[in-house]
Amino acid sequence: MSRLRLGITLVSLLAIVAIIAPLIAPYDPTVQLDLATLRNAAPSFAHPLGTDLYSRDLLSRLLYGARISLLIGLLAVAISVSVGTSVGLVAGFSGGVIDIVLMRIVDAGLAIPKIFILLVVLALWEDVTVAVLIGILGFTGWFGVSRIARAEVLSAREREYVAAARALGAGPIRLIARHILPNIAAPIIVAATLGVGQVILVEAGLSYLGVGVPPPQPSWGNIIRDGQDLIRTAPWISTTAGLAIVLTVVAFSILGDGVRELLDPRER
Amino acid sequence: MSDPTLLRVENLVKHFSVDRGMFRRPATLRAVDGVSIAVGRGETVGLVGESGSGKSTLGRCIVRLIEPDSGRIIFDGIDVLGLRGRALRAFRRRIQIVFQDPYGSLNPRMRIGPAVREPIEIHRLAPRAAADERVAQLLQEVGLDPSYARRYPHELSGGQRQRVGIARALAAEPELLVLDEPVSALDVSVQAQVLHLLRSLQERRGLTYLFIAHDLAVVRQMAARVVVMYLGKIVEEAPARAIYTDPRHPYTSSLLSAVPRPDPTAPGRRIVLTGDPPSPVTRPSGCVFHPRCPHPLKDDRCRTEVPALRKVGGSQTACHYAAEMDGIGV
Amino acid sequence: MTMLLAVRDLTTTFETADGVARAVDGVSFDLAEGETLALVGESGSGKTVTALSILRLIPEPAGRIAPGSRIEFAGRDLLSLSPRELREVRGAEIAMIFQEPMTSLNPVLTVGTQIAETVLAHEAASKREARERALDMLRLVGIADAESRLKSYPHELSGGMRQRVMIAIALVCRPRILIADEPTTALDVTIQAQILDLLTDLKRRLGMAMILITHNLGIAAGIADRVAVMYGGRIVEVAPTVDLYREPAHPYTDGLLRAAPRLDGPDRPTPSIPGSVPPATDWPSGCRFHPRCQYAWERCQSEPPLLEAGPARTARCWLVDEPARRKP
Repeated sequence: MSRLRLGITLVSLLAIVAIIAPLIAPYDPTVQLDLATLRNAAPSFAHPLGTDLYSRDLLSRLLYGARISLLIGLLAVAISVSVGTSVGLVAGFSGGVIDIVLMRIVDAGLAIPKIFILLVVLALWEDVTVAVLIGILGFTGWFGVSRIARAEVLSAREREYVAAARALGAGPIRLIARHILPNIAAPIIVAATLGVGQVILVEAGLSYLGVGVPPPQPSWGNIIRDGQDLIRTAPWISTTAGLAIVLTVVAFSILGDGVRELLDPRER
Repeated sequence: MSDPTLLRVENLVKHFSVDRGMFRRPATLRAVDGVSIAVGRGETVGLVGESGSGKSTLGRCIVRLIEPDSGRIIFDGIDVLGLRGRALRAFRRRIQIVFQDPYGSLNPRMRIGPAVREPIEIHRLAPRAAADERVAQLLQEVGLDPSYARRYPHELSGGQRQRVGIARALAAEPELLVLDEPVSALDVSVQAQVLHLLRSLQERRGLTYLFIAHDLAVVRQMAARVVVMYLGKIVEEAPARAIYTDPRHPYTSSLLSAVPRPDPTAPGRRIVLTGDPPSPVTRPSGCVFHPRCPHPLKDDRCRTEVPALRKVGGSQTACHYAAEMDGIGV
Repeated sequence: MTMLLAVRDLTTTFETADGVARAVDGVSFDLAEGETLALVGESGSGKTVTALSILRLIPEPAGRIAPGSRIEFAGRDLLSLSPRELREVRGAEIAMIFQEPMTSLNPVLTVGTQIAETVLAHEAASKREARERALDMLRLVGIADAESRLKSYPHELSGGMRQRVMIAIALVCRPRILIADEPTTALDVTIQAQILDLLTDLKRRLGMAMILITHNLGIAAGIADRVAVMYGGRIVEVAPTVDLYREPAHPYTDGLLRAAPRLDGPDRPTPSIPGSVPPATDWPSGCRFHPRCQYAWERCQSEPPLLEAGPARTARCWLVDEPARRKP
C-alpha cells in the first residue's frame, strides 16, 4: 500500500503544480524580460532558477512546462488506451478474420520504430500545435495496449462466469460491458499509468529535437534544448528540466506499480 | 403440460478436433457420440461418468453453451437447436445451469446483488423497482441473508458461493436445471447442505434436474434414474434402485466397487479396473469398455461388435453379456 | 512400538491481509514405525499445513513455525536442522507426494531422469545404478512397459500414471515415512482405487510408515491404522480406525461420518453440519467447533483439552467428561 500512497502523493503534487502554475509562477513564461541584461542570469532572489538565453524566467517556464507535459501525457494516453482497448476487445471477442487483420496491423505498428514514425509525421506536418502533438502521440501509441487488451479478452472469454452469463441469455454488449471489461481493466489501467510517464519522455525527446512543443511555449524538452549549449556556463537550465522529467517518470512508475499491487486479486 | 417428458435428447453427437502438433493431422475427439436421454417433468436424472465420459459436454450442449454436431434436443416440444438470436436468448431462461466451481462461475468484480439481478434484467422478469425485492427473496430462498447482496464473491465461503450460483439460476425462473457437479468442489459437511437445498427447491418449485456427477454415492441421494456414460456413450441407464443393487454393465459395477466406503470393516474391493480409460481420441473398437472390462465372458465379439443399448433386468444396458452379470456384481 | 516421529505443540502461523492466521495451532501426535496415520479434515482444518511443517516446506517469511513447536524424527529435532541436514532428510528419510501430480513433476525432464536424480541427490550411486533403480521403481509401482516409460515426459502420461511416477520418485530412496497429501483427489474414482491399492501394497512390502492426508473418510477407512481428525487448526479426535468409525467420540467426527455420502445409505441427502469452517484468522473462542455443535453448552466456552476417550483414543470434547449430555 505504501508504494501506492507514495505514487499518488508524487503525482498529485505534480498535478497541483501544473494546475496552479499561473498562480505561483512569478512571470509569464514566454515573455522576454530584458534581453539586454537578463540573459542566462544565475539564480537570484528575483529569479530562483535564473533566466535563459532569451531572458525568460526559468522557474516560470518549468512550472508551465509541467502543465504541458502532463496535459500531453494524460490526453495522449487517454486516446491510445481508448483506441487500443476497443481494437483489442473487437479482435479478441470476434476472433476469426477480424482478429487476424487487426492484429497484423498492430504487428506492423509495433514493428516500425515509433520515434521514426513520429519524426517523419511531425517533420511533414505544417504547423504543429500541442493538440496535434497529443493526437499524433495518442494515435501512434495504442498498439501495445491493444495487444494487452486482446490477450486479456481471450483469457476472460474462456472464464466460466462468462459461460454462466451466456447461459443466462446475456447478449454480446452485456457480456463485454459487465463481464469482460471490468475483469480486463486492471492490466490496462496499469499500462496506462506507466504509459503517461513514457509519453512525457517521448514528448520531451521530440521537443528536444525541435519537432515537439512549438516555441516559445515552454516544454521540459525544449528547455533542455535551450540550455544544452550553456551546459558549462549555466548548467542549471538543462539539469532542472532534466530532473523534472526524471521525477515525473519515476512518479508515474511508482504509481503504476502501486496500482498493479492494488488491483492484483492475489493481494486479496 | 400434456407431455410428461420435458427434455428429450436424440442421438446427440459432438466431436472436437484436437491439434497434435505441426506435422500430424488433427485428431477427432468424440466427446459425445450418439447419446439419447429423456428427462420427465419434475424428475431428477443422474448423469454419471469419469473424466472423458462426455457428461459435461452433454450438459453444455443442452444449455447450448456448446453447439452439437448432430442430433436433436427437444425441450417442451421445441427443437432447441433450431433457435437463433433473440429466440435463443429468450429460450435460455427456461434451462439454467449450475457449475461445479463456485469460484470460477461468479464474476469476481460483480457484487452478489447485481449478479442475482442480472437474469431478471436480461429477461425483464420484474420491473426495476421490484427487482431488488426479488433478489432479496431469492437469496433468502437459498438460505442466505439478503445483506449478502452487497458483498463480493471472494468474501463468501465455497458453500455460500454455490448458493449464489443457484439463486442466480433460479432468478431466471427456469423449468430445468442442469447441475454440473454442483457439490464436488465443496467440503463434505457443506455438500450435504447444498444437496438438501436442491431437494427442497425442487419440491417447492417443481423443478426438473439433470444432475451430472462423478460420485455415485452423491447421485444416489438425488436421482430417481441414473445414466452411466463411458467415452461418450451411454453404457447403462436404469432406475436408481436397480443401478445400485443390480448393475448390469461391468463398468457400472466396477465404478460402484471403486467408491471408498467410510467403513473400515467393509469387505475389500472386489473389482479394481486395470489401466486407464483410453482417451476419447483413440477409442477402442467394438465395445469401448472392452480393454478394461473385468467380465469373465469377454471375447472377440466385444472387440469387434458395438453393443446396442437393450433391456436386461431393470436396466437398459450396452453389454453383450449383461444377462450374465450375476456373480461379478457388487 | 518405537516412535518414529513425534510432533509436539506444532503451531504454524501465516501473515495475511486479515491478520495472523493460526493455520496449525498446538498439534501433537506420534507416528510409530510402519504405522499409517490418516489426518482427516475439511479445507482450512490445517491438515496440509501440518504435513508441510514436518518437512519445513512452509513458505517463509509469510508463514512460520512458532517457537516451542517440536518435531522429532528418529530422535533428531527437525526444526533445529541446518538447511543441508534438512535436505538429507527430505526425500531420503521422509518423502512426500502431492495432490496434483502434473504440477509436481518437472515438465521438461523425462520420468527416468527425475527418478534417477533423486537417487543421485541422496546416495553415492553411479548414473548407471541410478538408472537401474529408476527402472526397478517404475516396475514396483506397476507401470507396464517400464523400460520405454523411462524416456517418457510427464505430459505423455495419464493422471494415474503420473501419480505412480510421483510415488516412484518418493520411494526410490526407501524413506521411513511417506507423507501423502490428498494423493488421489485429482484422479477418477477407478484410478483412485488403483493408487490406494498400490499404496497399501507398497506400505506392506517396504515397511514404511505413512501419513495420509485426506478429506475423504472413505479413503481413510480403507488404509489407515489410526485416524486423527482435525478442525480449526487442532486435532479434535484421535482413535484406532475401527473404533473411530464405530463410535466417534467428537461431535464433529460424528457429523462428518453422517454427512459422508454412502452407497449403502438412504436415497436422500445425508444430515449436514450447519454453518461453515471459520477463517483461521478468527477461530471461535472456547471449543472451536461449538458454534456449529448441536450439543454445545456453557462449558464449551472454555476449550477442552484432548481427553481420554477410551483405550488409545482421545477427543477434545467435554462430552467425554459428561456423556449424559449426548442425546441419543
